[in-house]
Amino acid sequence: MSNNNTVLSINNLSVNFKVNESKIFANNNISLKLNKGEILGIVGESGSGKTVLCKSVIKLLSTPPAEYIEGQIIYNNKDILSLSDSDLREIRKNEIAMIFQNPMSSFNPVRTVGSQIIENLYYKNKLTRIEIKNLCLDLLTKVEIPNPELRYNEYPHQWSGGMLQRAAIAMAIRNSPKILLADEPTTALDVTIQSQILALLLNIQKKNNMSMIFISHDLAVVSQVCDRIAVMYAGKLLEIAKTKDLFNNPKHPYTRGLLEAIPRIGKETKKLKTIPGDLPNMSEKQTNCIFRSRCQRPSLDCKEGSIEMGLIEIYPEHWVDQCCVNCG
Amino acid sequence: MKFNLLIFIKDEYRSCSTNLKIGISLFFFIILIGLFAPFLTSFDPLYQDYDSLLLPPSFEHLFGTDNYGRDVFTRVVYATRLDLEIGFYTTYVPLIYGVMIGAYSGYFGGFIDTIMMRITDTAMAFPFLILIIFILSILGPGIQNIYISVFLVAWTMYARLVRAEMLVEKNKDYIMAAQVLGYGSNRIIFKHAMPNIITSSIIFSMFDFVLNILLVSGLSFLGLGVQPPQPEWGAMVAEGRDFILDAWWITTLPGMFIVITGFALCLIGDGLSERFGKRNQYTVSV
Repeated sequence: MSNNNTVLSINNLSVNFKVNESKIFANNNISLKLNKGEILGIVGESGSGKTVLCKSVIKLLSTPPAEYIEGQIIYNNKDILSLSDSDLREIRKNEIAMIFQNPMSSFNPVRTVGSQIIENLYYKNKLTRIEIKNLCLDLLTKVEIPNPELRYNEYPHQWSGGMLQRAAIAMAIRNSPKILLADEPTTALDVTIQSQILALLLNIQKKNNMSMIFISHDLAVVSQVCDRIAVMYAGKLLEIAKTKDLFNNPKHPYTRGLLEAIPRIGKETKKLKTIPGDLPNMSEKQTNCIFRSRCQRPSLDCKEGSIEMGLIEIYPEHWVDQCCVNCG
Repeated sequence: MKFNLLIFIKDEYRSCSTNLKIGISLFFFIILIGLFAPFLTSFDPLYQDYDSLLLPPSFEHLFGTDNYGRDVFTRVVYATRLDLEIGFYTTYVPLIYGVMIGAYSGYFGGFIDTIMMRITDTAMAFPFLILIIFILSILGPGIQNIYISVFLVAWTMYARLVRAEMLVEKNKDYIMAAQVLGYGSNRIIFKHAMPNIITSSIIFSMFDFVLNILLVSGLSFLGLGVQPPQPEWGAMVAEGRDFILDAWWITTLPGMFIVITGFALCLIGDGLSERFGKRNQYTVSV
């Protein structure tokens, strides 16, 4: 399964949260590979553990509530979860960058945007003030901010959300990282800005040949952007496939339900299709199929509970949960 | 856009409330009195003139004289220096390390946090004045010992205040963004979190300043603070209380200075909280 093309591999990762004596099983036995120069989309409904997975990749979850139960995250032949703090900081500085969902709150409100961007440039290379400022202006031009000279000394509240997200992207790409984690980067923006930001991200990704993990619950966005898509549900991976395969030939009933729930333009529908039921209670450890309660036509094996969960490859590069392959 | 100091000051002046303006000018006036003490009066604060005991206020002796014939106005003016100095040190020295301790224990949490917070709990369980008097009774009276005892106790308030703010602030996205960029925790605490959490401490320090001046005055009144010949507002009030019916000016006029200073500092505190509050509201609501 592994080859030289892999930049990041997540093996069997499980993350729990301890809340008042009870545990929340946020991620269960997740295994993923991220290839070089690839955009991997992660989709799933709210609370399915997408963000937890993304934050785990750079070990950002604070560890009293969160616990890394098992698994490794291998980057550069090193397990990120067992790195020391200083090594971790080196990786965060140069190798793996992240963009957050809400650009408004990811900037310090009491400092100018310019000062926040140059801060991490100072940190990396010992350059003079003017060189740093020019670098910063370059970065701002790269992310298509008009009038960077003027905008440089303004505070975050004077910028619009789209511009702040551009500045966040500028900060993320300043050391040309190998991996970019985008945690719903366009959810807080309106649709026109969304497409601009996506185009910018794609452009930068192609130029630097970065790998990217793109988290979203917007299937339309994901289908445009990503090379491969992983579907998450209640802390587990249900299906991984290339975008085309997943949209043309979804194998898991949950994926099928998701795709059917998208309203289509030009097709008159009285009522949108939905997946009946709710997410299972995540504070109970599930060993059997987690989707059984919502599955419309569960297979015989699934009903008996004789099959454990786990991905199998049914077509080349199309992995589906083995329990649900045969479900209607 | 270049930074223009003149425009900055103009903008700041416009956005200040009347409270702040009045408070700052009053306080500035008092500081000036302290600075130019030798030019305001021709008397020596310690010189005892037995020919002019307990004289009422006149043009020669603006605030009259006390029972040793010393000019009260001169003593009040020279006491300004001492009182402001003590007030400043007892407020801002504990603020520095109190804020640092609070920020660290709020940010890291865990074992250190527990120990620090139990210490502050213990210190805050006793009334402040009682605790100071208790320490002073071990060390003995004097300005130096007031410093030591206040430094031992006063930081707890700031540590509490900053820790609470830090707990709120450390879960915000921009702190996490700073972590993602690989900044060290010292950098995150001092460069990113500190400007956001220090405002409440600065506002509180203004009120604390008043309380500390009153504390020193109170201690001097009790005889635990500044020792007799040296002029100090509280001590002067204490000295004059035997003659309050015959010579009201010995207690009343130094007392008035305490009131004015307290008034000015409270106005500054109010004005600052309004000023910072406005700015905070503004950025949050956007």
